[in-house]
Amino acid sequence: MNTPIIAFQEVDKVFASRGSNHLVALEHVNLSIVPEEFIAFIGPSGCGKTTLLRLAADLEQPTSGRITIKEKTPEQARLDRDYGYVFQDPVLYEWRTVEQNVQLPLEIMGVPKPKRETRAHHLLGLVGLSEFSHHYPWQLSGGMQQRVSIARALSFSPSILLMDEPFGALDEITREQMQLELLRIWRNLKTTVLFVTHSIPEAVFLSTRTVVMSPRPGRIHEIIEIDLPQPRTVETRECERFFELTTVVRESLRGTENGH
Amino acid sequence: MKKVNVTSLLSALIALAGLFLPWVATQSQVSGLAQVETASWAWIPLLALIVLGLIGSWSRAPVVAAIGLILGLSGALLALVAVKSALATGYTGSASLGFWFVFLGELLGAAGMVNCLTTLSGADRVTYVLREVVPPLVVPAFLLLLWQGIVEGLRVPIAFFPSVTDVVRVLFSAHAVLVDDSIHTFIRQMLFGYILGAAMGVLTGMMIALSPFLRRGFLPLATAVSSIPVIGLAPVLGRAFGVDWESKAAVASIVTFFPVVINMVQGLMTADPRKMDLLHSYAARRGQIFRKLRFPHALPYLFNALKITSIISLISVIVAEFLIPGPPEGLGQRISLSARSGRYDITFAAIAFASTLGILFYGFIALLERVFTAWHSSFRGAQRR
Ligand SMILES: Nc1ncnc2c1ncn2[C@@H]1O[C@H](COP(=O)(O)OP(=O)(O)OP(=O)(O)O)[C@@H](O)[C@H]1O
Ligand SMILES: [Mg+2]
Repeated sequence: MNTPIIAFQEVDKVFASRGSNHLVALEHVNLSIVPEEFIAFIGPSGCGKTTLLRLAADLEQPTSGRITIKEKTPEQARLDRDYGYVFQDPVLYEWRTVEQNVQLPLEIMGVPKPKRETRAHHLLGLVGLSEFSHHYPWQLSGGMQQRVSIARALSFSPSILLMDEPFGALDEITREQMQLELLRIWRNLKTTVLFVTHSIPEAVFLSTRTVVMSPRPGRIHEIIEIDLPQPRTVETRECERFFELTTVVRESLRGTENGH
Repeated sequence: MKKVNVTSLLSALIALAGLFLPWVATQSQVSGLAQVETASWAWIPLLALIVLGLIGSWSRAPVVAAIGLILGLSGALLALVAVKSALATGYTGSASLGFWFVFLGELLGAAGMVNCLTTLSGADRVTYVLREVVPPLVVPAFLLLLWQGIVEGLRVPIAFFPSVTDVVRVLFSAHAVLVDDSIHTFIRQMLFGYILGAAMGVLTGMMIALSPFLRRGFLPLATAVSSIPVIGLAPVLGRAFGVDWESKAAVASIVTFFPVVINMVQGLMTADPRKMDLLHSYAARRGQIFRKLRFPHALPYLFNALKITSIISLISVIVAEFLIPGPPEGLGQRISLSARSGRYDITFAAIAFASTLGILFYGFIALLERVFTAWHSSFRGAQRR
C-alpha cells in the first residue's frame, strides 16, 4: 500500500522555443502519490499544472528526472491503459454523437458493441446527459461538453484519473453535484485521481492532499494534507476544519506570489 | 416610402421616348412603331405598360416592385416581338433608336425592381421569397431577354452569334445527337477518368500521409506537378492512349488525381493534436488513429477537391476533344465542328448541355458531401435551429 503508484523524482521540463530563450515549465518536481489518493493541484495560471499531468500521461517527456507509474515507465502505463485523461478543453469528436464519443475509448480497446452501449448509457446517466445521447457536440453547451468528456474518461474504469480543470465550465450547483459524484466513483473504483483546479474550496473538498504550485519556474510550493474525514458529504463544506484548511491553502497560494 | 424610385422613373421616361422615335428604317424610309403595319398593334399595350411603370415609380412597396418587375420584363418581350414582326416586313437594316429606347428602358426598369427586391428587409414568407428566391430566377431570364434583343435588334447572323431561340430550336431538333454526345463525353470519358483519378488520388494520399519518406520526397513533386496545366499534355496523351476516348479519360483522371492527393494529405495530416493526444492516452494503434481520427477529419478536405475537380475534369475533357480530335462524337467535338462550320446555334446548344451536366454533377458531389460530412461546421448553421 505504501509503494507509490506515481512518483516524480527531480523532474524538470524545459520547453525549447525559437531562438535561445528556453521556458522552464517545471523544475525539481518531487512527488510521491500512493494508490487511492486524491491529489488536487492548485496554482497560478502558467505554473505547469497541465504540463505535470501530461508528463505523467506520457504525452510529454521530462527534460531530466524520472517518472514512475505503477513501477513502470509512463509509456508502459499508457500502453497498459492505466490513464483516463480529462483535458482542459472537452476535445470531443464533432462527427460523433455524444454517445459515440463516450464509446470511443471502448472501441479502441475492442469492447464489444452491446457492452459499449450499456456502459455509455450508464455513464451518460451519471453525468446527467441521458437525453442528449444522440446529439452532436456542437449542440451542447460548454459545461455539457465537459461532462461528456468526463463520462468518456470514466468509461473504461482507468486506474489513474488525470483531470485538468474538469469542472471549470460548470455552474455552481452542477459543479457540487459532480464533485460528490466524482468522490463516489473514486471510492467505488478505488482509482487514484490527479485533479487540477483553480478553486480553493474545490481542492479542499475533494482531495486527500493539495499540491500548491508556484510559477516561473513551475515548482511545488507546498503540499497540504487535507485531513477532513471520509466520506465527504454536503456537511463537510460546513464544518470548522473545512474553513481552516481553505485558509491554509489560500495563504500558501498567496505565498507563491510574494517572493519565494 | 415617399421617395421616388429614380431608376424606375428614368427608365419609364426613356421607354416613353422610344414610342415616339422610329423603330425600323430602310434607305428610303424611316418608320415609327405605329406606322409599321404588322406591328402597330403593340403601340397601345406598350404605352399602357410604360405609363404603369411611371406611376409605379412613385412607390417603393414590395408589391409594386414585384409587379413592376413583371411589367418591365413583359414590356421588353413585347418590344422584341413587335420589332421582329416589323423587321420582317421587308426592312433590311437593323432596328432603330425607338426599339432600343423601349427595350432597354423596360429592362432597366426591371433591373431597378430586382435591385429593390434584394434590399427588402423583413422575415415573413412573402418578403423572403421576393428577396431570396425571385432575383436568382429573374436574372437569367433577364439576361436571356437581353441576349435575344441584341441579336434580333442588330440582326446578328448565326455564324457570328446565335439568338436564344436559335439555340432552343437546336436543343429540340438535335437532342438525340446531343444526348449521345453527352453520354460519350460525360460518362465514357469524364466520369470514368474522374472516378479513376479520385480513387487513385485517395489511395496515394493515404500512402503519402502514412509514410514520412513519401511525404518528404513525393509531396513537393505532386504539388509542383499539380500546378502544371495538364491539358497542355493532351497531344502527348493522345499519342500514348490513342485518339479515342481513352486519352480523354486519362486527361480527366490526371487533372483529378493531383488536387485529390494534395487535399487528402493535407486533411490527413492536420487532425487536431489534442484529439491525437486523446487517442494516444488510450494507446490507440496507428490504424485506429487513421480510421477514428485522420480519415474522418480529412473528409471535408477530400470533398473540396472532389467538387473542384468535378468541374475541372469536365472542362478538360472538352478541351481535350478539341486538341485530340478522334471520331466525331462528344460535346467537345460537336462544339469545335459546329463552330468551324459556322453553326453557332449547335455550338451553343452543346455548351448548354455541357454546363447543365457540369452543374448537375457538381450538385451531386455537393450532396454526397452533405451526407458524409453533415457534422462539419459549414453545415451547422442549417441544423441548429
Ligand atoms: N508545448 C509547449 N511549448 C512551449 N511552452 C509550453 C508548452 N506547453 C506549455 N508551455 C509553457 O509551460 C508553462 C506551463 O504551462 P501549463 O499549461 O502547464 O500551465 P498551467 O498551470 O496548466 O496553466 P493554466 O492554469 O492556465 O492552465 C507555460 O508558461 C506555458 O507557456
Ligand atoms: Mg492548464
